[in-house]
Amino acid sequence: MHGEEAKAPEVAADLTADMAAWQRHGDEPAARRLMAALYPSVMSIIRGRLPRRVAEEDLAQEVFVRFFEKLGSYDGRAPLAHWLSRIAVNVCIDALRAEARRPELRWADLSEAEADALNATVAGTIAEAPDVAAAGELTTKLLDALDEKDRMIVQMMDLEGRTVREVQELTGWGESGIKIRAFRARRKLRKTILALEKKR
Amino acid sequence: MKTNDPWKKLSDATRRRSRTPEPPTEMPWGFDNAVLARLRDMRSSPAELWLRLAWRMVPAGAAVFLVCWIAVRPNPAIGVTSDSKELAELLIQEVFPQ
Repeated sequence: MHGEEAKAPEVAADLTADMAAWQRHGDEPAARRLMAALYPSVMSIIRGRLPRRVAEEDLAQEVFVRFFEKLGSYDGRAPLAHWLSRIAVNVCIDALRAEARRPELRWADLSEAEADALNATVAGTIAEAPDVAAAGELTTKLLDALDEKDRMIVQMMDLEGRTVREVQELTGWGESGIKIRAFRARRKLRKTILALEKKR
Repeated sequence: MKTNDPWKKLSDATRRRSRTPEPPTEMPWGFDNAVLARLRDMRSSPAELWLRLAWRMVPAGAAVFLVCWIAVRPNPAIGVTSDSKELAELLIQEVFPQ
């Protein structure tokens, strides 16, 4: 998951000629080569941050359309992978925002397995709980209730184990903003879990 | 370190035990064509867009013109009425009394 950042400079060097060819005269074979090379990176960014009702291929297309549109403004200061990931993150946020459904999570919304996972979470035995998928589903439902940016930050930090610096590189957002959002989002998640447990 | 934070416990458990599926390494067939088609559409110049729009409006414009022409063309059947003819004769008699 974190490999694409390390590869960033060499990827940029390999693709510079194709990027220039596309910018100069809209060279389509060059654009195809760029897409083929960058497709795995784009998919690794959008997979796992996908809104429920959006196909990942549609989102990937949108990322590449914006990538080619904005390529003229790429100045090479940030590695290409970071620049691309910022575009991908923004596309995901726009898609999440378009879904714009953040209802309050209720006990009745949880399946039996998810309710068990919630009980195990509060009891502190979730690490040994047998149903891994239910814990994942419960996590997704809790994240669905967050603001898009908060969700992205919590997902990167708490579920993918990224540092604030890494989130900063991938999103282009400021360090203090990321910390504040992460703090607020975690507090909201804690409250939601405890409120659900009380209301059952 | 022990924690009482339920979110931390849940997210730790989810992170440790579930893995995001590996991203595909190759584009699906036709993916690049779809992206390039969208870019081509977006790159069309405003002049081309106007020309395309104008060309699409030709049949509608022709239909409107035809309807207007039929509505306002002079009708030969509606000539000088008997009233106006009589009036003209009276006027001539007044001007040129016999």
